Amino acid sequence: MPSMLYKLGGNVVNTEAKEKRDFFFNLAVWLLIGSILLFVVYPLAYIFIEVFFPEGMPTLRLFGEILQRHYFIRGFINSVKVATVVASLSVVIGYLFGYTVTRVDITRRKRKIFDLLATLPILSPPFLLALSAVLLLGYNGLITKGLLGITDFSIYGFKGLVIVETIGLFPIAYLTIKGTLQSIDPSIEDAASSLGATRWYVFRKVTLPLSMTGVANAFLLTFSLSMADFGNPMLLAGSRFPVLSVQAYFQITAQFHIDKGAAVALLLLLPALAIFFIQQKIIHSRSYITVTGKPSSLHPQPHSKLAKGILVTLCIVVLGIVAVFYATVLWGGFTDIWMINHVFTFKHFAYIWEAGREYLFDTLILAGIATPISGIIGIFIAFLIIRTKLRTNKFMEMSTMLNFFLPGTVVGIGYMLAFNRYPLLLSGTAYIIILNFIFRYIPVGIRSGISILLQIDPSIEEAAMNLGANRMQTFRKITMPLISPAFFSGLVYTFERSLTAISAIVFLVSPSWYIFTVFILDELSIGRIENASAAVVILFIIITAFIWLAKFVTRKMGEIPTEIST
Amino acid sequence: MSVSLRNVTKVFKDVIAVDNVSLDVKDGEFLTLLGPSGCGKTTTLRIVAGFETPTSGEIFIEDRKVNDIPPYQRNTGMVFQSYALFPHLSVFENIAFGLRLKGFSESEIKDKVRRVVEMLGLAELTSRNPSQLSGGQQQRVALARALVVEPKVLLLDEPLSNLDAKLRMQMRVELRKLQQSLSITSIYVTHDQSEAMSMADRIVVMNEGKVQQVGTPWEIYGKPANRFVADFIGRVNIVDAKIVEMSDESTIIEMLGKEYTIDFTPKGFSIGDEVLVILRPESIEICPPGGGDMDLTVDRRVYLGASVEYYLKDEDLSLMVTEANPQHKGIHSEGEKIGIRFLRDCMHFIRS
Repeated sequence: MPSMLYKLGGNVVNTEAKEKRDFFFNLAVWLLIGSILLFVVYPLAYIFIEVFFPEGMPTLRLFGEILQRHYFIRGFINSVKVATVVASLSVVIGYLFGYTVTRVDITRRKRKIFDLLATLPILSPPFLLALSAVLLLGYNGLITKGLLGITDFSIYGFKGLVIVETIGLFPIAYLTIKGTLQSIDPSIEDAASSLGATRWYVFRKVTLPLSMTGVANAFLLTFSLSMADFGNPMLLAGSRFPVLSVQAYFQITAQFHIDKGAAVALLLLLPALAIFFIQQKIIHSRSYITVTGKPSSLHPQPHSKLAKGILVTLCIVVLGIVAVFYATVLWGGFTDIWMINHVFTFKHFAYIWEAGREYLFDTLILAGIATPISGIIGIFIAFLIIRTKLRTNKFMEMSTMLNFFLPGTVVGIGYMLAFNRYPLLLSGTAYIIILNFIFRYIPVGIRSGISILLQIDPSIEEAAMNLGANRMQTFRKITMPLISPAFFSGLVYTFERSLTAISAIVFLVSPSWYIFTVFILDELSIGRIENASAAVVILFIIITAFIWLAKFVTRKMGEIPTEIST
Repeated sequence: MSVSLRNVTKVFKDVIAVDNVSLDVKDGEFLTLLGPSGCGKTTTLRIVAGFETPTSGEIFIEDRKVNDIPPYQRNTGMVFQSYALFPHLSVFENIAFGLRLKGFSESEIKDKVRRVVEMLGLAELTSRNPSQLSGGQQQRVALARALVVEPKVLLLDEPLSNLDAKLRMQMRVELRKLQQSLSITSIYVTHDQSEAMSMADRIVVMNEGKVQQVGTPWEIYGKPANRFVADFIGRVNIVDAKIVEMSDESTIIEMLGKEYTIDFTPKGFSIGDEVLVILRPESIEICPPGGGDMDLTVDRRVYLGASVEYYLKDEDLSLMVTEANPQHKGIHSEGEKIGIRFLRDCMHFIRS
């Protein structure tokens, strides 16, 4: 009988402890779901409300009006046209680099340089490439007017947009395709070779078909990023070549037609939603291609001199163009007046320090507040997805991913509409900007969290417990040190994205809280391209410095040799 | 320190992983849980470690019921199949991990780690990271980490399965020696029967969550309790037979159309019972045609160096026979007719 009592007592204590833990855990989960509903779902829903229920009654009037206006239809067609061409070119160039880096027997050094330079444009602040395009190919461009003496060439419109967006987006295609190429089991291609296939035949019949999901994914990604692009078309599209993101911005900021702006945002939202769901399908179909899912090492194979020569030359040409674009902005920032007085000067930098310093600090503070919060939420959701089976996991993952994926213009207009009235009057405050940063970049934290948690063999945590560590000690001494490098680099990426954000934030700034990228936009709109160049250079230096710092710190923290745990 | 399981059952969703298992591990004993994958052996081990809570049943370590004790208070040392070394800690810190949690002083920790690394031949490697070690060395570190805390019971989950064949053989011997010299109670999970045979004091054969047989390697091989055990451990010919006569010291069975007299009485059987006769391939002798119990034709022959396997055939019978030392005894060719003789004292009966 006493043992029976003991057992009952033990059970009671145990359940209480468990309920206490469950209580805080459940509270955290419900708070999280609540805030996702409020700061992700609600603003997006508000766009639909604004367009289809402007006076509380369902109507198609506004949407019909938009569809009848020639100007908006052209904007839609232009956006799709540019996106299609940009995505196609990006995929071709991305494949060129992906294949050269993973398959061609080039030297290690060349491979490293190709990889580094080809991913450089990902880091670029908005406007950088468009600015270079204007400096090089504009009416007063170095190449057009200076070298060739052409004055009737126009960089504004379709051509210019395609050029700068392709340079800006091919790195995304490259990374996507490279990942797919690396995940193909090398022995499959070896098998084809051993059966008598030439390199070219192996490429056509094995490598290319096996990497098609990567190609499709890269196309969809670059297509939607081109559709969403705001910075480049702001500078290059002009009124004769309207695109949706710029139209929405002008409707709202210049003409104060908030409802029409929302309707244009809807035109941006619908294709983006379609692409998002197609892409999710591709990712989750996980056909035979990503057998391991784990990128294996590079698999260079001997190529003929001719093939190698062509591939390497093409890569060098593309990288040369990238380098020229970057160098031009740098030059522009240090030039007194472009194409008129090429005197080296610091005066634009001095001006930026004078006029833009405060905006820069505001931006750093706001991004600095948002980044860790966003990262922690991301890691928490990652933990829920990997280690629990909550029914809300899918919702949290999908909705935050959607918020990340949708054009910033749409998200920004949603925030502007949803939070400019009671009870959630946030317009004009720092909160609206911080919240936007937080909820926009949660998927970054989720992704890095998931990838690292998947690599930690659960038995490592069990081993700690077996040796006498309780849950808290296990988390502190084992789980935390193992995930922190990935967590940290996720934070840096989020911070970088926040610093360079423009498309959403342009709708949320106020005189009391301004943002550096919007300041650059202001300089551009009054035609001070040298000032804008200097500002872009500063932003680029800051971003690069943070990335290097992060790399340094992560190395200090110790690179975790994860192979051992699998 | 003894470990006992009483009617332990574990149900995952709709799968019964462990089905009413009762076991007693004696103090200092090396007990092996053996069975095919999915038989519940690892789950049973994890229940002892505390990583799984049994759906029903009780677990005792040293006569103390541990059902409600979390894994970190059970004082079991576990060696994981993947070793589960902490990748961010050096070999020394990996081994010292448990000691630090127990609050030993720095000098005590140094002392204890030094002793265990010397015992396991890791003394030169303590400053390395786990990723800089070979598989065998990682395995030793995992073992050292588990042993240094002086656990009540050592739990080993297929610890040798990631090593290459030669190292595995060597580690079997070392591990067994170490266990005996420390006389630490150990539960060892494996699906490799030769591993179980060569190391264990006793083997628990499991299948589909149930214990099939508990016994010494000698008993498990020579007197399997049922068809599963006979089939799973070693290779076997199973032949139908019927008990015709039984006395105190001998039994007569009818098998393959002939009567055989055997000089012992199988327990639990009576006259008229249909039985299965377990005939190990090495318990059948080869003799010239007509000189044995029956003649058969060599259908296929596999020469292995130390021995040769013959697959013998008749119209409705096929038997496997191994003969050791073919260099001395000579080798028969395929298609040849040979005689065979069943070794009566090696016969074993199970129910059909």
